[in-house]
Amino acid sequence: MAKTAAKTTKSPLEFATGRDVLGEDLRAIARALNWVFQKRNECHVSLTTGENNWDDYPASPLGGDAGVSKAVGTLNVTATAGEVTFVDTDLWIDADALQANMEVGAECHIPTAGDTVRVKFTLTGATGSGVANVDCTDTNNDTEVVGNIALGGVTPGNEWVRCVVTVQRTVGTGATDRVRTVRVEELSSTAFPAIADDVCGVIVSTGEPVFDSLGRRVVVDC
Amino acid sequence: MALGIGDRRYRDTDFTTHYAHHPKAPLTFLVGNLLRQAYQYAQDHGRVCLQQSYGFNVQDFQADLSNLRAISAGVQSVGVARGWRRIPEETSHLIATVKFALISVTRTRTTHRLLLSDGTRADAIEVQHEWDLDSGGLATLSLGQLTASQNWIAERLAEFPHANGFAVQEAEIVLPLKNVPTAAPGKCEIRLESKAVARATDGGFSLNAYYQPLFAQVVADMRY
Repeated sequence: MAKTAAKTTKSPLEFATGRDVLGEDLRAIARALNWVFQKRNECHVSLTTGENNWDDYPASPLGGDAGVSKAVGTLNVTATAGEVTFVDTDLWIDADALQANMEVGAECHIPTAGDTVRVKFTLTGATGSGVANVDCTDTNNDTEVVGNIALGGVTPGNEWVRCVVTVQRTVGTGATDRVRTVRVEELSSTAFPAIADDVCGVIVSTGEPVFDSLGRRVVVDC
Repeated sequence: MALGIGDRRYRDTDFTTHYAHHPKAPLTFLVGNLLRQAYQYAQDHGRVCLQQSYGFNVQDFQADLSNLRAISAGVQSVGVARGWRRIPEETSHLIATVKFALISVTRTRTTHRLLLSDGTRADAIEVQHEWDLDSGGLATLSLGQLTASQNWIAERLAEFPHANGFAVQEAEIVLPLKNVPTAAPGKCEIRLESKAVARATDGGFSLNAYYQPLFAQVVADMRY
């Protein structure tokens, strides 16, 4: 039986002593608990280069000021051959990640027309891996480019997943191309870990009969 | 909001007492407490979604001061942090914490602006703080002449090299989300901007001040 996750607006104050506890109440609470404990997106890697106080970013549509162009920072991508390792770390991905959908993203500042900077994300576990190349060009300057990695092969159970991010300028010769942000996020999902006989998320064990709103005795399932 | 009631903040729960499980015990306490636990757990989930640090080379401090970080910012805001994140479902607030040094010897007003946009909708807030740097104790640098204790300065320089010996301040900016939907978490742009202006001799705030960002963090939280 599949679990159901749902939000509720029931108030705990509703359950004063003497009030009937209905089958719907228990269902609602079990589903709320399922919602609380389901997987939500988590940010695993978040790096910014902090170059030049971000002064040359574009004007914000929200009323934010446009920055003033400043001197170039130090994280320029000048290599045209080979990849430069930018991030090398371990991610902890737990048992729920059977269908771990990872979203990766990078923002580059590429003032030189025609240049391309490739930010390559490699996630490697003991039993599964994935690669995403995020190509930033001058046409998507100053905004994040997104890629996706499905770690479908990762073994159920706990596993270290190694994350390596490399940077390479694949096209062009500009001296001021630079990487601003790198992001690795695990997307949310409504999947639950498969645990035998755990269909409810909460087990109510009591001798008190439970009735539905029509007064019928009910079995609580969720 | 879809989860919880009104703007109540669940800060603690009761232990479910053993007699709640007695066959003849009323279910109401148990059920109500389960709800409280669910709400508290759901709310108690602040998640870091953006961090920005400013690393510096002490040796390069003169160059940094003139070219890079410390900005005379009486009119225009400068960017402190910017990034892209998916905001978790049911997030109600973004909370930014920023550490910075004001290189100023007079009362100084900072304005921090926190912005969130999913591309079409946006939320933003501006928060002003005033910092009494005259009597604040430690920010007693007078244009190159340090008057604070040398021991303290050394310690401060080691902690935050780029504060140049000035006191390190911390400000919190809380942005309640109203327009940006988070039910289906989409990618959002987060920006933190700031400006600083110092008090002039006539009492008004009109002098340029140097604002030195050191560290900024933005957390997504469920606060209602």
